[in-house]
Amino acid sequence: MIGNATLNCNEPLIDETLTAQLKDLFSAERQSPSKSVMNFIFGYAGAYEPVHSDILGLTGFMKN
Amino acid sequence: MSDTKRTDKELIESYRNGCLSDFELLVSRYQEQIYNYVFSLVKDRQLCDDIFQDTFVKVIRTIKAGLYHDEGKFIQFAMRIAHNLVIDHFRKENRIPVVESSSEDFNYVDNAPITDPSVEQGMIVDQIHSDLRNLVERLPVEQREVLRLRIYEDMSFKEIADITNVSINTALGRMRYALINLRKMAEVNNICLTY
Repeated sequence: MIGNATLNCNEPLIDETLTAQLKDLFSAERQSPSKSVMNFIFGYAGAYEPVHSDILGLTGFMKN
Repeated sequence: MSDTKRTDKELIESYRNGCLSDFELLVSRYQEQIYNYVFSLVKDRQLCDDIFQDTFVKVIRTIKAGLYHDEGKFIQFAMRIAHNLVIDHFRKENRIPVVESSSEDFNYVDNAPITDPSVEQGMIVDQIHSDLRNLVERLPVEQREVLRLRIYEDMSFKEIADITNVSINTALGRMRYALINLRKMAEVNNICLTY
């Protein structure tokens, strides 16, 4: 049991060799995001301001 | 306090209050994990860049709008956004990859590179990895996803279920079928996966 759920099956068994090989495989495929993408994200994070308050203000204005 | 000791929650709160460098620190903690997760599903650098970027645009908007409530699960939150964007992409392209696990039209042997029996151990390992990569790539995307999250990211089935929006039973089932399919494809095609 996990929480209120009843599990239909236990974790499937996987031998250590295959686990190690899969780990190696996934590890060998590791990549990194490009610099331009990271620059965009950080630029966006610095510039982004939510318009939430503006929308709420406008809603209030319209109600009145 | 050193950066490594600061919790995700502290970094998010700090960013919400205007400290960009703390957001950069948060991203640097998880960028590889999230990027590689997306890459393992889409297998395309350009597309992976786009989805990774869109993931963090959504993360930023959610945090700044005050809609993210930290329960110590930032990585699951970000991975779930990434997962949904990947699924959206596959839906748009109408090409969610499907395995033909009992497939007769998949003739692995014809596509497998020929190896010299006298190759050294390193080459044998490379060959096994190459074989295994071919097999893993033939799994349906949802099975490949669970396999990676469980084995490489070392996540629990509860965490995997949260990220992929399915029940724990479904996540367990996908893992089970991933292993069955891997072994079946290896057996049918006479591929040895041991050193």
